[in-house]
Amino acid sequence: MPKPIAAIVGAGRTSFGEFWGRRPEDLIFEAGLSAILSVEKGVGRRDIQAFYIGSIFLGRTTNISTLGSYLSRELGIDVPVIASTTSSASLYNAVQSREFDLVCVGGIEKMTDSFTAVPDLLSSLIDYHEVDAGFTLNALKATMMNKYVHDFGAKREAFAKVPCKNHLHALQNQYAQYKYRLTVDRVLSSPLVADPLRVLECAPISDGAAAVVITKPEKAREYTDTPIYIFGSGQATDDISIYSRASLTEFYATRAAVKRALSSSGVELKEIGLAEVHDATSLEEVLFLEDAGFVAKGLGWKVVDECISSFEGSKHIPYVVDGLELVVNAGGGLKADGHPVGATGVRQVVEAFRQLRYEAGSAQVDIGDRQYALVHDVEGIGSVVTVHILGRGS
Amino acid sequence: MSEITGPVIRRKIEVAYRLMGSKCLECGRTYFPIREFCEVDGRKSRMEKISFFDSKGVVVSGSVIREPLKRFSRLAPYISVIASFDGVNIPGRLTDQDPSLFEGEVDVSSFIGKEVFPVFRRLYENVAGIIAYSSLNFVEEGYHRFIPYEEGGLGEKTERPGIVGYGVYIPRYRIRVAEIAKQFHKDPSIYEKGMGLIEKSVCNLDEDSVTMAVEAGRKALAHAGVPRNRIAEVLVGTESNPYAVKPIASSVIEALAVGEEYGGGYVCGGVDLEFACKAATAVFKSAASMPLIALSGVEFSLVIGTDNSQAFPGDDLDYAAGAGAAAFVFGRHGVIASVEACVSYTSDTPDFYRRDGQAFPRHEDRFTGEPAYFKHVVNCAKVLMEKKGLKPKDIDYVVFHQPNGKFPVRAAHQLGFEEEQYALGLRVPWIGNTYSASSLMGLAATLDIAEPGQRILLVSYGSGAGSDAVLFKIEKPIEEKRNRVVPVEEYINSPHKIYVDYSFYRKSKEYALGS
Repeated sequence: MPKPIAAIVGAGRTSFGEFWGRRPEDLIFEAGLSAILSVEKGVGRRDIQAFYIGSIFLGRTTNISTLGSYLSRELGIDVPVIASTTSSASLYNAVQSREFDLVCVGGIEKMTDSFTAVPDLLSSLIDYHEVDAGFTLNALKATMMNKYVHDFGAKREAFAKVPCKNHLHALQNQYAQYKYRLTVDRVLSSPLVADPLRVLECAPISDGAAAVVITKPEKAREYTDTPIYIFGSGQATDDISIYSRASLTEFYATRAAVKRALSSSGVELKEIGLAEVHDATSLEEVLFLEDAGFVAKGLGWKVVDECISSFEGSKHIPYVVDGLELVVNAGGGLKADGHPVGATGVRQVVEAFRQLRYEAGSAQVDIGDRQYALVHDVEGIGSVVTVHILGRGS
Repeated sequence: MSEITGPVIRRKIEVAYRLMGSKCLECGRTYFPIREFCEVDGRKSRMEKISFFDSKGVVVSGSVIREPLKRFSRLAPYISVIASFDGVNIPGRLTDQDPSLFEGEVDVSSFIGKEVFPVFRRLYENVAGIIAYSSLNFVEEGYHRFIPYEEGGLGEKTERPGIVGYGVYIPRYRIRVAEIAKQFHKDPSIYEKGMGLIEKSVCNLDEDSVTMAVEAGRKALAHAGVPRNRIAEVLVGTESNPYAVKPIASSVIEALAVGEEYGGGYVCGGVDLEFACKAATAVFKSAASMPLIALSGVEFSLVIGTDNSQAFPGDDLDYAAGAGAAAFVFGRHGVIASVEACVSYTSDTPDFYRRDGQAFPRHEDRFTGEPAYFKHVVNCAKVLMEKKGLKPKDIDYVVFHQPNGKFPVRAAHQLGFEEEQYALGLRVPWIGNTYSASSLMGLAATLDIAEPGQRILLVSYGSGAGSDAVLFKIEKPIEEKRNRVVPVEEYINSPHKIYVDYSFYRKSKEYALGS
């Protein structure tokens, strides 16, 4: 029986979008406060013993590098603040450290403060020789996509279905940046970013923040009767440069991190009913299905192509593998919900938390008796991958 | 905002100019870029630096970049690939494509498996104006020919020094003189018949005088085959260095690894020279003499003429100013063309000039003819022939500076030379005036054909004004080295040339200014 290592007792977030007029501290305050207020049996800000916070670009977009001290001023408290580049890494740190009883884990990004600098910022996530060879982050993904299509004979339309499906999932998500339907035709006629990737297959530039409140499993019921547990976490890294990697058609770090998270939790892949996946581009959702082990190598595109056929109605479209349904990106994923980079990892946890607690209202996914969710966050081009396994527990 | 500073650029130069990687002497595994540690042998690893600059790769995959970083935006759209060099993957921009390739979605898979090789190109400049160059750029064979440098023997040492090896570089792009005339509603025959100009070479948007100097120098080294660590002087003639202060010579030395490597630098001298179109020929006699003077410590030197000169839109020069470079290794071993005599001739004649900070050179129209070009070219050639007691019939080929297709012909006739003596060296109608490389293109085209025992008279001209006359005698080693030359005619008649329109050409000139 899987044993929890941490418990989530509250979760909150801001909407994602372009918030030209909002201060970053407003966003983090809104996300943090809504997470704290969501704790059923009540906690106050002074009960929080530490903040784990993730942001990768705030120092460069907004020239704010001491976020902890802003928290001190905005919340009027003094606690340790542990900063990471992504909020999923913050969560990993928080879960692995058993030092505190109650912590808040969050992420924030204010990408629109330096909108035109975003390509440059993203280029700091890849090898500088690749940058000098003219590549961008998306162009590296397109390079992998071309190799994948070449090696496995994948149908181009299969990739285009991914953003269409995720946009459909976002229709019921009150926080999502984009709430409109897409069609394959529209995706494939949108401007090219890096051939063959088109703009409607790439996650947007977003502002936003998300936060969760974490405690030790044995203390969870002091805060809520319906905690969501973290059963396992795994992190893995790969070469910064894709040219030095063994394969251009898979993300090794996703494979390794999923494996580590599953083995540390004792949960089996077939028990996962929901996955929050890092779909920064359509390619990454297709490769995730393979790298995580849901689908055999080279067949991810086929499963996507076969499972996604219509974008009518408002019901979630699951991937079906061996008769089991897997819903990916219930709230629209990075593509439709939005992608404030440092906040995305915890936003994914917030989504899984709401779904597992049946609190998603009209956006609720019926995952049946499969009670586990997998959350997959990526930094760079599959360079650092963090995976958490969440579940309701008994 | 992040900035690519001088120290960062310097560190990148150490890897990216010559595509430096590492090889583990313990297990033989190779890596790009340089690393201190073999992942197999760990602390037992013994790493040695290796270069992929003279190797070929095969495209593994790639993409077309339509939304580049700001500093690359002037080059977009372009294709970047990952290529495998004997199993070691290296990223690079696949340059010199036909711009029409990017009109619709590109099927990048059609590039997978293609052979490519690295070329030295200009990437971007930082906020302070430092220009970043690298060899993380690839071309396919076709227009460009892959002739890797291989160290051969020294060759026989001879009494008379001279040219040991040579190479030229002409960019892949061309513009027809008629296309330029069209922009200014001019009758193209004014330029085609009146000036003897058909088409001219145009730099790609990632090329300039520095990159062309490196590529021409690279070919000259491959042709000479002499140990490059024994080249101890690099002399670059140009009037279009993108820097007002900072030599091209140091870029050439670093990119071609000439001179003995020592402490992260090279035991090699170098300097840039300026005397309008004769800057390079001005030092032919110095280059030839250095091996004769023990004190110089120079056995071999490399002389390069390189230019991508500016011309005001619609000016006569706009029809003539081409782009190219020519490079010559001088020494006393394996000489292919020995130097028999040198004469220089000078007067203070302001016929063409550019003040520092001015974007475009100016000229004094018809004053550039009789009192400038013809006076210096003809007198200089006369003095040399008188000194050596030679008549035009004693000389097999004559090559002049060629600002257009008409001046050299008239100069030849004034001196008593016949068409078969000057026609081979008259290349300007198809390349344009490559300024410091102009007469040298003619010299190279003549060396491509000339036989041992024949004589070539080179007469350059530089505004301001002066001429250098150099008399060469072709030597036996020229025959065995011919298979390592890309002849000038191969560039001129290549079926892979790409004709561009005036707007591409204008961009090319503007970007070279760095504005």
